[in-house]
Amino acid sequence: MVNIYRVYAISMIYALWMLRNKLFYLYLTVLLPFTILVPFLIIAPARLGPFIAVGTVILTLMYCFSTASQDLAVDRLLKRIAILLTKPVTPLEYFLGILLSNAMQTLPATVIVIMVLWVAGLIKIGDITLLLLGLVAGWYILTIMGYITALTLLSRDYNTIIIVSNSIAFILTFMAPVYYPLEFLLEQLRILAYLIPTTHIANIIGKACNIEYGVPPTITYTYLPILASLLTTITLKSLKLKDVY
Amino acid sequence: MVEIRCEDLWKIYGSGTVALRGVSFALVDVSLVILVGPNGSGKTTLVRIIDGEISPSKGFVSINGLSPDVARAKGFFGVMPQEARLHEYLSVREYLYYLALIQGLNRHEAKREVSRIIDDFMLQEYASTRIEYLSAGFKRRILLAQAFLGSPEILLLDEPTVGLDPEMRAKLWDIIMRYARERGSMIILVTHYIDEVRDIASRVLLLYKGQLIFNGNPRELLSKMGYKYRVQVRLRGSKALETPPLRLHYRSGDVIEFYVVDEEELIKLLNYLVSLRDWVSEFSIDRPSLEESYLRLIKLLEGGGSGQHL
Repeated sequence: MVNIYRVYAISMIYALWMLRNKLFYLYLTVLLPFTILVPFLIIAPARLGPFIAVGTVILTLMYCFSTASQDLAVDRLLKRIAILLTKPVTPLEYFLGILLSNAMQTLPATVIVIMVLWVAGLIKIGDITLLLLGLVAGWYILTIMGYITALTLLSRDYNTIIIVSNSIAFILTFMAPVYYPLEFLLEQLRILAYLIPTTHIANIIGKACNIEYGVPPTITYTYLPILASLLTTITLKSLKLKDVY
Repeated sequence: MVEIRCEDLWKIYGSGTVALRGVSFALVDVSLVILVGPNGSGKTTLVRIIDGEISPSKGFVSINGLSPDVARAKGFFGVMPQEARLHEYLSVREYLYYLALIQGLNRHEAKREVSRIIDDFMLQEYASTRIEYLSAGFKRRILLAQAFLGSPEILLLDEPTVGLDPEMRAKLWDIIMRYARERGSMIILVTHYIDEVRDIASRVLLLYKGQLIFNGNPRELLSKMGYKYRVQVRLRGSKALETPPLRLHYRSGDVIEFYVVDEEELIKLLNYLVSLRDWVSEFSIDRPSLEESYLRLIKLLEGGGSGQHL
């Protein structure tokens, strides 16, 4: 049984820091996405503009991955997790709390980024339901990937977790075809790109904005649910909160 | 009634460090237990095994017949970890409120409980202040306060007053003692200030190098000293003592210490001192402290080989 109050409390404990930190919110909604967007727009041909815009949305969503992986590492480093672990919290409740916290932090920021891109004429939203589906898929899969990354690395020191999670974040953002279409990749690398979840998240968001990445939708709509189920199963069955020690 | 049973507990960490070596004991309906031992003796490991944070390498713990994991899921424990920090960007009230929800209370219960805890721990003045702006003493008090949320059956307090000034320590002992008396919770207290709680402690567990070397009440620990009173006498000049009534005494210059095992011996000694009254400039009688008894046991073990149960 999941205690909803407990999930809410865990999410608030983690989310309030950022929701109250205006500078950080500014970083997430403006500084981080647009410092990459602007130079990419300058150096890339105009036809790639919409891809770069979707890539910017994905970059903002990547905060779910970074937060899920690094929050736990910071909490362990600062020994804040010690108190939560003494309370009657189940691994599922803790995970749902992190998930909800990420939704509170990242989804409003992502919506702000999309609005700015839309107002700037960089993207045209054709299907709002599909857009929401892409955002929710991104939020869920990236959070769960970050969570698993943190828990599997928790025997290592804080710096290792940060380095590994940053490396994965870079692969998810720049090695996958999110800022550019799939055809830009070498033939041999396309198979690998299919395995990276952000390829498919960008594909869904791209479809919602009438942008064609060249990734077959059947692969996207088959792969993402299977991946989400697999990651959920791993989280719920294999990982215990005790592993934090 | 709360019952904790530990049977042949061993804990060997991944690094090969053996933190506990076959620790067994039962605590049945005990109100305040003091867990003592030198640094690295396994106290914190034992606390963390009891509350289910970590699993023993061998042996088992049961809390009212339940495993620690199940007992924790049922909200049996309130824990103040030895080393922990707070989510300092929250206010005191927010932090306690969210932890009360996590403890299993609903929103109304949590609000009521937080108000009670804020009153009990004298945090009213700073209830709306962000924790990051408070002093280390206040943060320690909040860390302790969160353990009491929801009146759990078992309170595991790992060095709750370490680093606090005597005034703050006295305040926190008052609160802990009041809970021990009024709430019927079992309190397991890891502390180095054992004499400050000796009068209300019903049990002392002494760990040494991962082994439980003493399990009894404070009086029994005191009896390990081998004497009940210590009488210190300062003589005028260097008077040689003729046939002092006690075999156990120690002289250093003009100061003599007598170690008295019972009241009968004490009276005999006092009569003797009366006969010496022209030579005695001052004298004092005191009882050995719990800390002295504990240190003596440790010294005995270090001198006479470890692992001997006393």
